[in-house]
Amino acid sequence: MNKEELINELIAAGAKPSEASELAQFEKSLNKPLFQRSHGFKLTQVKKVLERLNKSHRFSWRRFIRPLGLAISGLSVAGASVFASQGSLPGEPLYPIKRLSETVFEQINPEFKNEIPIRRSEEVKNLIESDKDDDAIKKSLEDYQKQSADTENEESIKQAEANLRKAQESATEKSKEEIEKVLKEGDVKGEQNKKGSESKGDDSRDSDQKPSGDSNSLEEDNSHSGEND
Amino acid sequence: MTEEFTEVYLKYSDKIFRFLYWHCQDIQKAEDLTSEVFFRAFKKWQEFKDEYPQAWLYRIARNLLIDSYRSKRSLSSLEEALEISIDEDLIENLEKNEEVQKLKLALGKLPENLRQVIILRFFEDLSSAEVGSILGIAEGNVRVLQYRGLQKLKEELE
Repeated sequence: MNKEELINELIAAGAKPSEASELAQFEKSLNKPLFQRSHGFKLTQVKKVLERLNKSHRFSWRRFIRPLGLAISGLSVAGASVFASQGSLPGEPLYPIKRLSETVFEQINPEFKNEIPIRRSEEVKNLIESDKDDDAIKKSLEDYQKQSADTENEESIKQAEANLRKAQESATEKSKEEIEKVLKEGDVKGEQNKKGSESKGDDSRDSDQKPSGDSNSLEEDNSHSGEND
Repeated sequence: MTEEFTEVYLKYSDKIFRFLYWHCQDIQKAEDLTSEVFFRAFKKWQEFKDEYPQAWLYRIARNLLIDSYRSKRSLSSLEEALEISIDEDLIENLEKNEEVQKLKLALGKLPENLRQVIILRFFEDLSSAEVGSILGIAEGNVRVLQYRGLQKLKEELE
């Protein structure tokens, strides 16, 4: 630092010229040790800083612990809700979760579709056994009809119908009639399906069977895949 | 990037170390804080590398000092700490040097703002403009503080 410059600066800051000169002289006389760390030491230190920098840039699970924890908690709660909902009946709070979970199950395993009529029929049975009103039972039967229309699995329908017959035993007169109506409609539909499949030369109502319009498409697909080999 | 960082560290770390040492008056703490300064600087390197690095490094050091006074704990505990080593030769030199010890004592008695100006302006030989930029004050204020700082330091040393 230039002494003259310092004196001017000190005067500009309010010092008297004599004082400014004295202070500038004092500053000049100060021993200002510019101590340094050794080169080797500094290289070691910078290496440590760089290692630390690299560590902080690496993927760290710690960043994700909290959001993961929240996600797992959320999934656990969801999982518990789905599990708890499986026994719920129409009109109960968890019933929508049950129905939603069925949609998901069906996506994962299309065979699950065959379980649906059984589940609906069990609901009808449980509603009757819980002394629910006839309107609720009727609504549940309508739901059964709608959902079982998508299923052609004989075993599934047989079991569902067995559930409904069992339900009839403890139902009110009105509900008994409703169940009878549904079972008859089911029998008629079954007969129609049987006749339909017989006229096409098929003697089974296997659910793997494609709908009548597409009955040749499987053979066509096989031939195509043969060509592609 | 490693070479660039190493170059910057070798060029500026002693200045930062000295600045921190005069303030905290402890070699280990000064070394600890020096590492922290460069760690933080390198983390944001892309953001600031086109700025004048010296001023930026001093600013980080000053902010770290303020934080360390507030929290009263080592800042390396906030991040993943590394084992802080000290230049053993330097410790010996500093501790044996009476002038350094005397200066350390006198500086320790100055108010924080005066001490900072004295160290940056006269020990590290920065201009008033540079000091103003680091401390976030006008050049005029730097001059007033350096005047008062020199007065006080002279009193303490005499």
